Amino acid sequence: MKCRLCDSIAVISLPRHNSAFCRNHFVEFFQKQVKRAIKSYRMLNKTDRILVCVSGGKDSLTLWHILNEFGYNTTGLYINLGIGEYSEKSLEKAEAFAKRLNKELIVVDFAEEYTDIKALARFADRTDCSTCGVVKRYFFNRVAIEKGFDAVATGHNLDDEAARLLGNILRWQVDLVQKQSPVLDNEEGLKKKVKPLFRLTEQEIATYAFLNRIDYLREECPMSKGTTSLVYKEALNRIELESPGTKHFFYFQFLERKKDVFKHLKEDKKGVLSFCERCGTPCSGEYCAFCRLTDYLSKSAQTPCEHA
Amino acid sequence: MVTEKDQRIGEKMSHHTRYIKVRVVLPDGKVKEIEGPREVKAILRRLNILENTVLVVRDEELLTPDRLLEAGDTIELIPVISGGLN
Ligand code: SF4
Ligand SMILES: [Zn+2]
Ligand SMILES: [Zn+2]
Repeated sequence: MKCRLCDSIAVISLPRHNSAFCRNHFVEFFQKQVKRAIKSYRMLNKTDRILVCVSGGKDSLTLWHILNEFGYNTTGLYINLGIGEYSEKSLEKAEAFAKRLNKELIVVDFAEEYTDIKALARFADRTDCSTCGVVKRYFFNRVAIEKGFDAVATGHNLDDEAARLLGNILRWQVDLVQKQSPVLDNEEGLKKKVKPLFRLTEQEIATYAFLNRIDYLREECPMSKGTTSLVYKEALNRIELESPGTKHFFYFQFLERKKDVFKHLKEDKKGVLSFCERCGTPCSGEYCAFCRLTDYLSKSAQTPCEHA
Repeated sequence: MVTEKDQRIGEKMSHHTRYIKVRVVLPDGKVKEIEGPREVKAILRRLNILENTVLVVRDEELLTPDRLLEAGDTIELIPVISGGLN
């Protein structure tokens, strides 16, 4: 297969764009997609201080790499979730990459300060990933606010967003569906959040990482095994192979149409917002999700375990 | 009886046949020898791996699904799908 733009051999075929690209033209394509994402959603300004959430995986390191290439002012944030060997290795990758870019990496040691994700999930009787999500979101926001960053950037890609949308629709979680967006604007107590890779698939990101020799952790978090998001991703990839462009269409048409479809819901949502009594984070109840979670820890420390 | 000459001719011919032997480093790191078709796409299908869920690498080079392999090639399949909910 030849590059669509020159005569060189292609490194990737992109049926959804009816294209194939050589190394140089693929990198150009990739950069264009990220620029377009940033511009169309007014994600970032050149003067912004950007906090990039890095896990040591391909998406977050690629995000950091490309924002750095574009000349943005970036700092990395790594959260140690205490997931055994996986956490140790992923921190090593994040640190090595920060060194390569010659950028600062802020490390929050959640496991040391509180406990590991698995233990916390057990106390709270929640799934590992939803517990992990609350913790990560909380620290992304808190560090950004405390250290005066303008925006928080995460490595979410098209597969992540399409799989999440599919999951939300399959369960008709309309409130979650309408909240889904490549950018969440600044609100009081909540820093702006952006996903500059949302136009790119996992395969495209892995290709960019490969071509730029980005040394990421290939190993997956052990808790990700068997999660429904993997099932949805696989289903979408299966459909995509049979009918190229479907994944793209599914998510991009959603973004296009949701303004009209969910207009009335948006109005209802405003106004119910209050602030967490302990930490000040905007939330819907007395305490925010993070404080409710970590509250289980203090309770479990006070009351002796009944099952002991 | 197979003479040395026959063997040499045989090797040359296998260059043009559809079925060859290749080594595949699977997404989980395990290595598998497979005797099969020469096209990357067909090998992936044989392994029941969706072509949009891996990168295929031979000698530091990325291969698109239409590429043909040579007997004795080693290809590595790098998984691209990450799990998790966030
Ligand atoms: S797979 Fe789940 S537990 Fe592991 S890092 Fe991702 S969200 Fe957290
Ligand atoms: Zn080209
Ligand atoms: Zn709180």
